[in-house]
Amino acid sequence: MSCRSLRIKPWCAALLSGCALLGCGTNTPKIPPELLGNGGCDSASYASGPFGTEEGDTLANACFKGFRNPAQSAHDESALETIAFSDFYDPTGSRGQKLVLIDTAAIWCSACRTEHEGLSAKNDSYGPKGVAIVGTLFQDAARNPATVRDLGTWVDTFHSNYAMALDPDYQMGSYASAETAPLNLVVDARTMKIEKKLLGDQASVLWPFIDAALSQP
Amino acid sequence: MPRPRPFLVLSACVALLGASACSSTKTTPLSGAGGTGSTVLPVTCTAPGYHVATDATRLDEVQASLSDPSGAPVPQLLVQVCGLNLCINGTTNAAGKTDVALGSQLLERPAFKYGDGFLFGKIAALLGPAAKQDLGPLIAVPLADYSQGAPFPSSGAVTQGDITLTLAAGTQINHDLLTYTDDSELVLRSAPIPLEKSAAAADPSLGFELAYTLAPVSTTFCPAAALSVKNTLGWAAATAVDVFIQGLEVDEKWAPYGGWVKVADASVSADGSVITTTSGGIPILSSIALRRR
Repeated sequence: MSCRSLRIKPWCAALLSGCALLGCGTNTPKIPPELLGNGGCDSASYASGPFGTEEGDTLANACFKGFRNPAQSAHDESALETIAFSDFYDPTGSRGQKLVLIDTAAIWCSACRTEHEGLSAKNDSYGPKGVAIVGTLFQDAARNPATVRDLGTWVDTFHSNYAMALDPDYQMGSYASAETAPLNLVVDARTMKIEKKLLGDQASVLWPFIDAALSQP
Repeated sequence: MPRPRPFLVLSACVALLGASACSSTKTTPLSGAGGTGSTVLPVTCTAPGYHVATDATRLDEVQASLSDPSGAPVPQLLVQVCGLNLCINGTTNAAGKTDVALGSQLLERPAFKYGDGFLFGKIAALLGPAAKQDLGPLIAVPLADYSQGAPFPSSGAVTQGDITLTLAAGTQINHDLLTYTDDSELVLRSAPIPLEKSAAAADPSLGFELAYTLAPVSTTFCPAAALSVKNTLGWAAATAVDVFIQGLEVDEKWAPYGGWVKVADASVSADGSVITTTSGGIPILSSIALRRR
């Protein structure tokens, strides 16, 4: 059955959507949100476009599979959750979210490893101030797409206590080449605007910038 | 097979020498790997740390031409231009040439790293201050097949090629399980570095006469492993020798990144067959180099 054959496109679309969401009274389980639409990134609430990739632009929403809080979960397939940038969008500040630090990493990237050795401590001190850290792992040591096992070993190795996501298709490629890592984006959680874009582990620039941003009303 | 832990601890970290046996700083010699005694105490191996703040270098382009020791070009070889802050990948083409475009990035203590640590030994060549650099011909050193690698024992000797490492009882071995994801890769492999063609990686002014690349890269030993190397150059018995390692890691815990640091004293055996460490040892697998004192 198709909407075209029924010749009632609007009604049909609504009907099918409703069936998909409600199971139409069958025993079909509720379809997980990540299987509908844009991979679970269809948040009802996200900053409006236009979107861009440079400082001052609004970050496009994207979603990944990963460990939202690796310190409190297993590090295998069973613990994977959908993590979307929209999860951190806080337009009114009601959730206390001020900034999002998005950090790309690859196993071949020694600078990324060094950076992540210190990120859990940063999360401890900056998390309560409203800074959320989201790391994305995109390649292994041989430049193959990162796997769940790679991600598990990564969070084990660095005792990550912040969200770490898999990015095997390198969705973050709009922001930096896959041949270059790490990349750090500081995003205003109220607007999802990219406030700072840094290639490389530039702790001496990044954290003072975050401090300054947090001090603003 | 999935591993339950980030670092494969092959045995508990205990020592026969005492707690200070494997602590080391820049001013005190690294521990040896042997020793006997009756007290069993936990060992804490403290990396010396070699980081020194330096100005960043603005780089536009780095070129090199990679061949194997026979002179054949090495295509599809992983290369990297990595500073302490940023890594940029490259690959050699069919002719073994690579041209890494860096887009005027600022890199702290940049080095050109060639070899992946899987098929080829990983070696670093520190880069100079010029924005465009051509390192010219470099030798990529093939490692033995994994099937020829030697598994690490919990203690005792492990030999591969010209290299023997001896692990004290209770040595803690930590492998880089992010890089080496299969147990079959966690075996000792070694290959000689042709120093006469490796000036970019081992400055001739350092006086090295013998060098090897070792894998699995970044495996650490606590306490440091004793080293024996076949005396392939026929040095006289009792000749005093310095042993160096090259820093491949940007954390610079065990050696300056891209540079070399002495980690052990050694001596040629009485029968002249091997060069064996007499104090200090190998704390981490990377490249090693030897010179007569």
